[in-house]
Order: sequence, then structure tokens, then C-alpha cells
Amino acid sequence: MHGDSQEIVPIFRVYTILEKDKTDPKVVNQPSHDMIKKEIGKFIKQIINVTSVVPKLEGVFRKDREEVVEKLKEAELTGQGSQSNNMSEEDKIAMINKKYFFPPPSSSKSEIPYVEMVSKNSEVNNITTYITE
Amino acid sequence: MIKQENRANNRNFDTKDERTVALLKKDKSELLESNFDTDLLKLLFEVQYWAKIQTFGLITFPLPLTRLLTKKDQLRVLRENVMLIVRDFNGIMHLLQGKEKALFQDHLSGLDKFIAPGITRLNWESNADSFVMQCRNNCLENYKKINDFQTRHTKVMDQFEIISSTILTKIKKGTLYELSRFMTQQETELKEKQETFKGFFEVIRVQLFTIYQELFLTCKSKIQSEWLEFLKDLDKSLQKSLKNAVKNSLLDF
Repeated sequence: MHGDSQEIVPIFRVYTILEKDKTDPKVVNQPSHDMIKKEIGKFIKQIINVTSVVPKLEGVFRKDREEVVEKLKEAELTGQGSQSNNMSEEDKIAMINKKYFFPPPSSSKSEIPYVEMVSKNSEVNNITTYITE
Repeated sequence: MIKQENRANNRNFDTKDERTVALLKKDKSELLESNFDTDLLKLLFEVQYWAKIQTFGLITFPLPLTRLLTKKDQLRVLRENVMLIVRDFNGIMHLLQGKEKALFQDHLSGLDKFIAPGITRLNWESNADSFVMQCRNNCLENYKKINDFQTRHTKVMDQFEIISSTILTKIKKGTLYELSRFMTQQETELKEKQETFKGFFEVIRVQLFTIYQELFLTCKSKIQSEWLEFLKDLDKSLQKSLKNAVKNSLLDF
């Protein structure tokens, strides 16, 4: 494996076994090249997957806001701290909704999880290819 | 001396400089300035030396100048108070960087309402004590809010920085690993880092929502849009930090 330096530093211990009983003995590496490659691929996926625990900031914010705003709206509708007692219910709701307006999500792109964005990132993909080559 | 006396005689202090000139004005960059007449200020400094000569009976001050002299201290105090408002207000304007100004537009409009009488109504003869006090209190209140916003924002950015520089794996240089042992060790490490990231995100979430709830929740729809833009910028920064963490971890491999 190489990391970011040009120097190749071994990481894995690989045993080379010569098969005894055959007339034409084969050299077998344990773990095999394929196995190492497969495991490294899995390992890289696990590294990227660490970012999956971080949810989208906007989504979490919207959820938190919704919770607080719902409570405030309810309090205003039931009259606590209300300055609009002589309004009709519909007008009240319209006024409260206007007061607590928040722009809707502008595009579905803003909802794509970070882990997906990171896994599709060209820099990450280039390094992955470089390692698994 | 004669020239000085003429200058003093020619000025109509009662109408021009005290009663009609507002305390404050705004310059092109929306910063506040004291609107005290600079010529009058020079004259006030100069005249105190003439007053010493007057005691020897060598000159006689014209009446408007004598009246002005009686108000000298009152004007000085007001000038200094006005300068305090200018300093507080401009301090706030200098504190706000880039997009922050748009985010604090509602707060700044509120502050402008307090300052407005000083630009439109109050003059250098007015009793401006309560105006000065109100303006300074409001400036202080806004200063604290902006300061709190910036402190929390810095904390969020610090978390991004920590995420960005986190190496997710734990590979000892120069160690030869058995493949299965390596995978088990790294899995444990990655799980730990997941928990750490959860913690970082929680700090970010709390800081951001506290800022929003305290400062912008009930602001107008324009500010809500500005907040959303601010959030999108942070979203990009967080994504970049996560990408850097993965990239650096892969490079460390």
C-alpha cells in the first residue's frame, strides 16, 4: 500500500505456501491477491460509510424548527400571548402561518445524504482507484 | 482679532448651528457620523483663548458668541454622547461581515428606528439624554446578539475543522498486519469514529438551532430566506469536511 507518499510500505503479512503433494507444486499466497483486494474494497466502503451517521444539516434543522414552531403556533391559537382575539379562526391560522413562514426546500439535491455525495466525489474515487489498482 | 470678531458676528448660531442641525448623519457606506458643525467646533476651541483676553477688557464679545459660550459645556457633553452612539453603531456595522449583514437586516432596521430621531428630529439644542441612553442600550443589545451569533458560528466552524482533520482509521506505520486482524481492528476504530462524528454533529445542531431560535425565529420571510442560504453554505462546508476526512483517511492508508 502506498498512502500519499511515493514510497511503498507493506501493511499486510502474506504467507507464500508451496503445495507439497503435487508433482508440479503451485505457489499459493495466503491471503490471496483477490482476497486482499476484496477486503480493501470493503474497508474503503466502511471508511466512506462513517459519514452516513451525519444527517443533512438542513433536514435536521427543518425538523427541529417544525417541532418548536408547532408548539408556538398551538400556543398562539389557544390564545396564550395572542393579540388577535377578535379574529376568526381562519384569519388567525393564516396570520400565524405567515408569521412563521419558512421557505420550502429548493431542490431535491439538498436532501441527498452526505455519504452519497462523498462516495461520488471524484477526489475520493481517484484515491480509491489508486489504492485498489 | 477684528477678523475673529467679524466671523463671530456674521454667524447666526441660534438658527443655523443649534436648532436646525440634526445630531447625526449617515455617510455613503451607511456608517454614522456626528453632525456637529466643524467650523463651530474650531470656533469653540479658539474662543476660549479670546475669552482670556476679554477679561483684560481688550475686546468685547458679540452677544451670540457670549450665548454660545454659556452653552459650551452642554454642547461638549452632547457631542461626546453623540460620539458614543456613533462609536457603538459603527462598531456593530464593522462587526458584521459579508452575508451576516443581510441576516441581521431586521435587527439593523430596529436599530435604525432608534437612531432615526437623531438624524431627523433632534438637534444640538435638544435634551437628548433619553435618546442617547436608548440608542446606546439598543446598540449594546444588538452587539451582544451579533457577538453571540459569531461565537456560536465559530464553534460550528471549529467542529467542521475538527471533522475535516480527523483520520478515521488507525494504521500504525511499519506494522505488518494479518488481514483479518486488520479488518477487525479497523472496524472497531471506524465505529468509534462514527460515534465521535455523531457527537460533533450534535454540537453543530445545538449551536445552530440556538442561534436561530434566539435571533431569527420570528424574523420576516426575507430573513428566513437569508438563514436558509446561510444554512446551505454551512451544508457545503460540512460536506467538504466529511469529504476531507475520508480523503485524508484513504491517503493515510
